[in-house]
Amino acid sequence: MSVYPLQWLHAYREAPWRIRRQWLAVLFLGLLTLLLLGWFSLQASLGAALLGREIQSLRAEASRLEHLNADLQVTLAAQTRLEVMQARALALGFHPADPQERQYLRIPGYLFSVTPSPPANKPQLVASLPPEYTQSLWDWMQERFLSLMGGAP
Amino acid sequence: MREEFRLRMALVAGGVGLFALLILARLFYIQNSAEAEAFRIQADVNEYQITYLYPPRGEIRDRQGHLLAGNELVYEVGVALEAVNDPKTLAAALSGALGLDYEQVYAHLLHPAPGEKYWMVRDFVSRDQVQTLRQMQEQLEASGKPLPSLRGLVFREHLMRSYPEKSLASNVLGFVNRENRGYFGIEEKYNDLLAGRPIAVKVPTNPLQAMETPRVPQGTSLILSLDRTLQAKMEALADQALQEYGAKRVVIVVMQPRSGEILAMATTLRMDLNQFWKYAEIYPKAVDFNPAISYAYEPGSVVKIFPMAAALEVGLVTPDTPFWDTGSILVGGRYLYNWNGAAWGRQDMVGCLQHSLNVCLAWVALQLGAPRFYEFMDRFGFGHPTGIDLAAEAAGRLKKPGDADWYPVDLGTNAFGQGIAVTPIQVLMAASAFANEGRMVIPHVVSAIERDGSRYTLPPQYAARTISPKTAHTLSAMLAAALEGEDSTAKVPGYRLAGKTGTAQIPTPLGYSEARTNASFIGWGPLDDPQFMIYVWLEEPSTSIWASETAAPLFARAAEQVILHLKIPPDAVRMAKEH
Repeated sequence: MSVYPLQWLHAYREAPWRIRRQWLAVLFLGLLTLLLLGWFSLQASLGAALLGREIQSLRAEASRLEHLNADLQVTLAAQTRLEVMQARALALGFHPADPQERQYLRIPGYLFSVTPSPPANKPQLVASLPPEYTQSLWDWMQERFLSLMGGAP
Repeated sequence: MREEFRLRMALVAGGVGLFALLILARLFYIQNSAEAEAFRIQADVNEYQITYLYPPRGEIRDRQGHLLAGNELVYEVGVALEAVNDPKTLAAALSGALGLDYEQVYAHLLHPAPGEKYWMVRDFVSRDQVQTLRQMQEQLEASGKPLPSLRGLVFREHLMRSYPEKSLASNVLGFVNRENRGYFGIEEKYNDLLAGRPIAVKVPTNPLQAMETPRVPQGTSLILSLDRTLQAKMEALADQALQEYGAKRVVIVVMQPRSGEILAMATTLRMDLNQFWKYAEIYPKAVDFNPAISYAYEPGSVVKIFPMAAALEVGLVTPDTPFWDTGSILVGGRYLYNWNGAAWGRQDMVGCLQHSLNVCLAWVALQLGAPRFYEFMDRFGFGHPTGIDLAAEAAGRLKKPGDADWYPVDLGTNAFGQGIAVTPIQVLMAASAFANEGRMVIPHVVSAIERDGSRYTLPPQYAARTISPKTAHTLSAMLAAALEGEDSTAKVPGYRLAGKTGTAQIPTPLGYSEARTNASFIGWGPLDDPQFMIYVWLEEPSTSIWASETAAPLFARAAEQVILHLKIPPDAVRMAKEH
């Protein structure tokens, strides 16, 4: 085997332009890594900032809806106030009960009580949050594991 | 060549290095300059925004759940002065929608105060008015033209107390002013509970630091024992009686004697609570807001039932104890007479109550003696506030031996309701002992409180047992017999009720007035199972000075309404034996 090809190979490997290119490649690789890290960091910051803004606007919206809800309750109460309901009843042909008109039936076994009914419950709003907002990472993993095992989620 | 290049490079590097050093030096200088501290403070201030979270005021509902006091959405209309680019249009819109003077608004927009960035034009603006302004603003923005414009117009929403039933039960509810402070009634008594606790929160302006703000729970809501329908009926009756009997004031209070729950508390002087600023125009004095608890007056003969109960309790008299009425009695050196000045001859204790004989009751008080008489009156709660859960309750006045203004004759006059000042609610509480096996119950208006979705129902609160169950039954039966034994206008057909009238001349600086009286009636029923107790008071009725002709028939009408509303069957139906 001739020694020339080996010398050329050696010369090729040791060529200054080739070493410079290797350094440049390493430099670009490093730069690329830094860029990637920066991009990821920016993405995460952007996502967090957007979520933060969303939380703030949702909070404002929740407060606005609470106020609106209170306002609507007052509107409803104003439309069903006693004076209005009495006028509607009269318009429908009803009239205030007269003591002479009442009739009582005696029902055996019925215990008479005149105690006015206990205070009525006002309609309650039931808020339900999806589990994504309430369960921990451990809860989620447990749920996934159970569902994979065929158990109840 | 190489040396020259090196020198040049060294110069450039030195220059760049020096520049970098200069930048560092400048940075160091800025960091430690006199202005740096001010900038640091400004940064700290801008980093967070202090926000005060005011909880919505708790609601007030009647026992059926009808809203009596809630919260209405209103707006603060303001202008961000730096953003305004068309003051003429803005001034025209504001003056048109809010009824303001155009020139004044325009002048303010053109020449704001030095340093003024935000101008609060008007607060507590209704939703409809704001809607008009918002629509105008949106239409102008949608047109895409820079002018005309309503830029700078700002709306901030908040809640304001609202009373959908307007004047219904206004004397019980009280009102809330613009500063969210309650005055009178429930609103004042439970102000701290209803208002909740405002929280100051540091909200970071940096969205990356967004954190969860604490949830401010709504103020506690209250469920009242009042029944909206019954309250309205009693108010209508009181208004009618005011006209019919030409009285200055009418008060009707309906209480459940077993639990102390106030079902209705009607007065003739009422106000639309949504216009609370008219309070001073409507009510001459603070006691006029709810005279049922705040106005102490001489009630007259309704008080007679209490010394009679005391005498029964200690065994001094029985219903059959005879009394020879000569028409006058000497007490403390002064003669006291019956209401008509006549001598009624032979009577028993039922007759004494039936004919409301002052002489007989003065004799009963003398038999009891001052120490026992005042001990019993004190036990019945006279001279003390009842503890009802409404603001501004008066204690009344019961003069006692030892007081500078007490005279021996007071023992006699106090026994028939003169020289003693009581409120209607005090008489109701004292009389609750007769309908409640001798135990007095503390009257109350709030029956339950609600907070964070949980409800706590308030149990009845009892005061001391003043008399035995036997005395309570005996006295009730005596009063029922007294009512049945005469042609009383207080009777309700089909029901056995107990009750007592009271006509009291009104004291003046020149003595008791002959023509001006307070007419009162206390009654309860059905006798075998008391379900309601009603107190009626007419101040200075002009058609007749007598309670038997004014307060008694008004009681009958009120009792009829209560019976109808509570669906109480007549005695014959209720007590009929099953076959």
